[in-house]
This record gives sequence, structure tokens and C-alpha cells, in this order.
Amino acid sequence: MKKGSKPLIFSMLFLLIVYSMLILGYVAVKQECELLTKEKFENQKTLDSKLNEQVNLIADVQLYSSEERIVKIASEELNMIKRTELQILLKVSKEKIKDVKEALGEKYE
Amino acid sequence: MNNSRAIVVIICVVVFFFALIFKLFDIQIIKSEELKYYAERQQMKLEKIAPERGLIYDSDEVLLAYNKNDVSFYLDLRMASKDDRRKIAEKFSSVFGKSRHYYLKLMNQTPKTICIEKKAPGEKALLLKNFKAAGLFLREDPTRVYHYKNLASHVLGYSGQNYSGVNGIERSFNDLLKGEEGIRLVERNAVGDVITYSEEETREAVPGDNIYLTIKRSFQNALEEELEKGISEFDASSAIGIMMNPNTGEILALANINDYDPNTYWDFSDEARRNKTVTDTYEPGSTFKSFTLAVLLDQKLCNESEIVNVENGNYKFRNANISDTHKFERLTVKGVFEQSSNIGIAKLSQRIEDELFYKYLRGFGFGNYTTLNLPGEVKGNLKKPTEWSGLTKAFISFGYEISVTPIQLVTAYSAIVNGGILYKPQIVKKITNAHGDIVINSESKEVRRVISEKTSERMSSLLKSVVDNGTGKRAKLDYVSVGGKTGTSKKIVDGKYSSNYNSSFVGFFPAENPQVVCLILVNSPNVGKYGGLVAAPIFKKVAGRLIGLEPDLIGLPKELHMTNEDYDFVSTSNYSGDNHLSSIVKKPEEIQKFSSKTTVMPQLKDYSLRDAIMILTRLEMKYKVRGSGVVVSQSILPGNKIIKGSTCVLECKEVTVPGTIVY
Repeated sequence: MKKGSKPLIFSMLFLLIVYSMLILGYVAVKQECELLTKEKFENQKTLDSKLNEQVNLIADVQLYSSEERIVKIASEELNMIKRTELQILLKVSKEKIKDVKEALGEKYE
Repeated sequence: MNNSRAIVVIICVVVFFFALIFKLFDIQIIKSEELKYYAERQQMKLEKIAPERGLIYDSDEVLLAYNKNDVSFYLDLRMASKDDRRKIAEKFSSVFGKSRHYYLKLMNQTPKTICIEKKAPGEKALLLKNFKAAGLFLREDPTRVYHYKNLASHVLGYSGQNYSGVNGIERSFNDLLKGEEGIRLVERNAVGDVITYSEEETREAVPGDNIYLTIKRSFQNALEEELEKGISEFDASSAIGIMMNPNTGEILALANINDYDPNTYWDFSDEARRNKTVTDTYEPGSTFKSFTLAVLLDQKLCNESEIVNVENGNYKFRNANISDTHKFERLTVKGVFEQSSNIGIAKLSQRIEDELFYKYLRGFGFGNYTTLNLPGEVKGNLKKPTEWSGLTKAFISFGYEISVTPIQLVTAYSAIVNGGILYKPQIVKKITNAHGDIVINSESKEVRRVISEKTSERMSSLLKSVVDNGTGKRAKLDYVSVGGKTGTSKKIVDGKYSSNYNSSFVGFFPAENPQVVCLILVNSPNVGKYGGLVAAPIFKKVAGRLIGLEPDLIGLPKELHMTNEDYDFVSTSNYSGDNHLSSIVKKPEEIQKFSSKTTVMPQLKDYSLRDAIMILTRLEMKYKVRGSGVVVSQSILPGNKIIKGSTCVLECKEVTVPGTIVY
């Protein structure tokens, strides 16, 4: 054996160490992937839960903002009176409108 | 020496590696299947992913039914040490606001696994996301929420313990609402904590479709409240109400009172949970006269002004006594209808051939399913002419010897007033998937033409006169024309007519262009008894509230907020639009009566400026004008002597009438 030349066994050992490192690296990456997958699923669950909460809140908003509920509480619990400008429903028959049109036409033609 | 030592070490390492490789070979290749099986059994578990049940909305997209992603927390007492238990009690106490003692007491129970918090809200569960304790685990335990409790309970139905629809829409559309279950493979460690999920083995759940109903929450609420008040006012045992858009067959509201809370359906009897609008039949009584008269008019077998002898209220027809509540000697056909004469309509019905009468009644949908998408519908009972006795036709003509469901009656009335077309009743407007894409879009379905358009117009007018002049006066609204028919029929109990009554009213408005048909059916009222006294006033209140909620129904803009009985409007009887307009716009002869010969100054107040100028010109006077519109004052007062050529100053003002609509 020449001085300074490395026996084959050292090369094999080196390869085994490299291989082991690769395996360890693979395991570490796999674990990280599993962790991230787990996180992804858990975040998905959280998102679903938040979306569900949002639906619940929308239902609450619709309930609390409904006009009939507000009017009911205002009138029954707070004794409030609906403030309205006097509205008048004016019914005029078609014949009357025709007469008036004719009268106007006759006067101002 | 050193070399030989090194070689020994290297050989040892190599042997060790070979041993490892051999063991790996043994584990990975030789025993791989067996060990894999054990490992998977211990660590991997296939979990089902429950799909989110579809949501139910009303026609205005108000959420009526949805899900709460609740979770239940369990504790395996065998795995939890004393320290763990104390830790859990402290944490749960801080999150749920209950005492530590409460949880510790629970944990001292004998079962191996206990539920320490049932149906906890999802947001609370999130607070415990990172909390770990031996033996503590959770399970998804979703809750179906009916946000408005009893509102529309018979339409919505409810879902049972396995989250599947049991009644109402929940049952009819269960296949669409339930969605598709998903699966995921979960890897857990020895203490049950999740290591990871397998993405390859995961199939996401598909959420159920969302259903949009035709009913309107506000209408439903108004109907239910008024029915409840009606039951209390008339001391009745129950009541039913259905509102339908006659031009499409869409159901706007459907209520059974007494009702139930679908959130706690188990607390209510089967009777309360039954949707009687489709499952129960009754003899409709006088409300059925409309169909007899429609046939008579459609076949031109009578005219409205024809006189009928109504026998002073008592008539013996083929050994059967027929009597009227309102006794008359003679009535016109219109009067027979207005006064709801059984004798009159029974006599008139004899002009219709049996087969033809049957054909028309089948045409209106009696004796057949309406195929409304609500479970448990029955088709009622309409005998074939071959099964009729000599009395049957006469009795059917005023609503006996025939049984109908409330939904059939409303659907048939819609055909009477909408121009003569029978529409399929609809409760679902559209169905979308979870992404909002439309899966089913319901359109109104015309079943058949039953009567001519002309007959329908005549019937609408006759039904209006029932409310204006006949038995339905208590349904009359101040501002909107209403048509309808009252009905009072004896209830059959154990095969015999009892002393209890069904009081009903089927009405529609506005009479000229019906937008809503509404049936009110009150069961066994102890006060009032008659449909005109019991059901008609309830209809009036419901209709008044509806118009207040949606003035569009009668063609008014929403901002007017017109209601039937409150202060928004002055009654037309107090305020005549015709007179008001007449007072401003004078007829030509009123102006022409003034001439140069007139000596006394006339009253010009309330005259339009143009008319006032014309009068002053005819009086040969000069004028000055301040403002525009209608004259509010004049400088030469009325009654003063006219000096020709003098100047009269006219003060004018624009006249506005707030909220005025001229029809």
C-alpha cells in the first residue's frame, strides 16, 4: 500500500456517512412536510370555523337590523311613536281627469 | 500496530452497518407488510369529514336555517392524572366561565370517558386549540340553527339527531342539503395527538346546496302574529294561513298556529309539528261557492242579474234540508253569492252536468296533489260522478261532500282571480351550490287554463262585491280594493258533524290586479263562529300589515309607508281628491259668469293664477302678481265695489300636497 493512498474502506465509510446524511435530511424534510400538512389542515379547520362564525354573525345582523323588530321594540318597549309627515292618498277618477283636461283645453287653447 | 487497530475498528463499524442493513432489510422487506399493518392500525385512522349542511334563505336572502360548528370535549379519565385534571378544570373554567369545582366534580364520576363540555361554540374551541392534556379530545358536534325559532317552522321542518331532514324543506330537499361526506387519513402518536394528515388519502367534503325559498320572512311574521292574535281573540283551537302570489304560484307565507320551535322539536307533539296546510283536509263550506259560480259563468248557464228564489232561508231538496244563515225570499245571482246563499247556489248548480262539474273541479286541482315540495301532502276527496248521490252536486256546490287541503284551495282561488290559469304552487325560488352557482332555478309552471279570462274578471268583480256589500265586509281595507269569500263549515268528528266550525276567508288584493291571495282558516272558534266575523278581520289585519311592509304590492312607492290602520294617511272619505282638484281648476262657465257688468269684487282665493287673471281681465281691471301658483290673498277684498281700471294685487303660492298620488 502506498503511503498517503486511502484504502477503499475509507471511501465506503465516506459514502455511508453521506448516504446517512441524505437519509437524515430526507427524514427531516419529510417531518417538516408532515408538520406543514398538519398546519394546513388545522388552518383550514380554523378558516371553516371563522367562515361559520361569519355566517352566524350575518344571521344575527339580519335579525337585529330587521325593520319589524326595530319598530316593535321602539313602539312596545320604548313607547315611541312613529313620526310621519301627513300623507294623503288622493284618488281622482279617470273621468274627472278627462273633464279637467277638457276644461283646461277649452279655456287655454 | 496502529493500522491493525484501525482495521479492527473499521471492521466493527462495517459489521455494525451490515447488521443494521440486515435489520433494515428484515423490517422493510421481510416483515414489512406485517409491521405496516400494525403501525397503520395503531397510528393511521381514516376519519370522515362531515359536509356542511346547506343553508336555507327566504326570498330576500335572509338566513332562516344554518349550522353552528360546535364541538364537544371528552376526557378519558384513565389517561388523565390528577395534575392533568386540575389543569383541565382551570383552563375550561377560564374559557367557559363555569367553576373549577364543576369540572372536578364531573371528573370524579365513574365512567371511563366523560363529556366535559357539550356543543361548545367553535370560537371557544379555537381558544383551546393549543391546550394539550392527556386523555382530552374533541369531536365535531354541529348544530342546525333555526334563527327565528318558531317562524316558518312548518315550512323549514327540522333535521334530526343524525343531521338528516325529518320534516318540511329539510326533508324534501335532504339529498341536496346534506352534501357529500369527505374522508381524511390521520396519523396519530401513542397518546392520540395528530402527527399529520395524508393529503393523498384526503377527499374533501362537498357542502350541501343552499335553498332560497319563495316565502318572505316579514310576511310570514305578520301572518303568524295575526293568526296568534286571532286565536286568542276568537278563542279558537288553531289556525292556518297561506299567502300566494296568484300570478306565479309562489307561496309568500305559510303558517300553522299552534307551531313549534325546530331547535327543540322534541319538546312538541306530533300534532304541533304536522303541516296541516298540506296534510289535513276539511270541507271548505261557502268558500267553495266561487268554483260553482265560476263554472256557471264560464258555461254561460246563468247571468248575474237573474232572480233566484231562495225560499226564505229554508228549502227541502230531495228529502234534505238546505238552509241559509241570511234569510231572503229572492236574490239575484250576484246577491246569492254576496249573501252566501246555500239554497241559491244549490239550485243554480243543478244546471251543470255532473261530468262537466267534476271536470271543472278536477281542473281547479281538487282531488289531486298540488305537488308542492313539502312532505305529507294528501290529495283530498272529490268523488267521481258515478259515486254521487242525488244530493252530492247540490252539497258540493256550497262546499260539503268534498274535502280539500288548504293549499289546494289557495291554488284554485289563484286560478279564479289571475285570469283563469292554474299554476303549480312553489315554495323554492332557487337552489345554489356552496359557491353560489345556480343549480336549480324555479320558474312558475302553468298547469292548465281552467276558466276563460272573461270569467276570471267577472269572478274577481263578484268577489270584490262580496267584500263591499256581502258577508266579507270585515275584510274591507280603506285604501285598497279587496275581493274574497267567507266560509263556515261544520267540522266532522268521528264521522259525524260536530258543533265545532271551521271559519275561513279567502281574500285577494288589489282586486283589480291581484298580487296576493290569502287563506285564513280558523279551527273551532268559540267567539264569532262565522268566517265573516272571525277569519275576515284577521285577513284585513294581515293585508294591512303586508301593504305597510311592501307598498309595491298595490303599486305605491315604498317611501309612502302606507298602512291600513295607522296615522300615515288621511282616509279618502275625509279628503276628496276630486273636490280638491275641482277647487283649484274651475270650469269655464264659472269664469264666464264674470263680465264688465259685474259690480262686486269676487273671491279669488284658491283660484289658479291663470283663472284669476282671466276673471280680472273680464272685469276690466288691472293686476299685479306676487308669486305663482294659487291665489292666497287679493288686495281688493271680496265684496268691495269694482272700480274699472284699478289694480288688484294677487298674492300667490305654490300648493303642494305631500305624498299625493293621482290615480
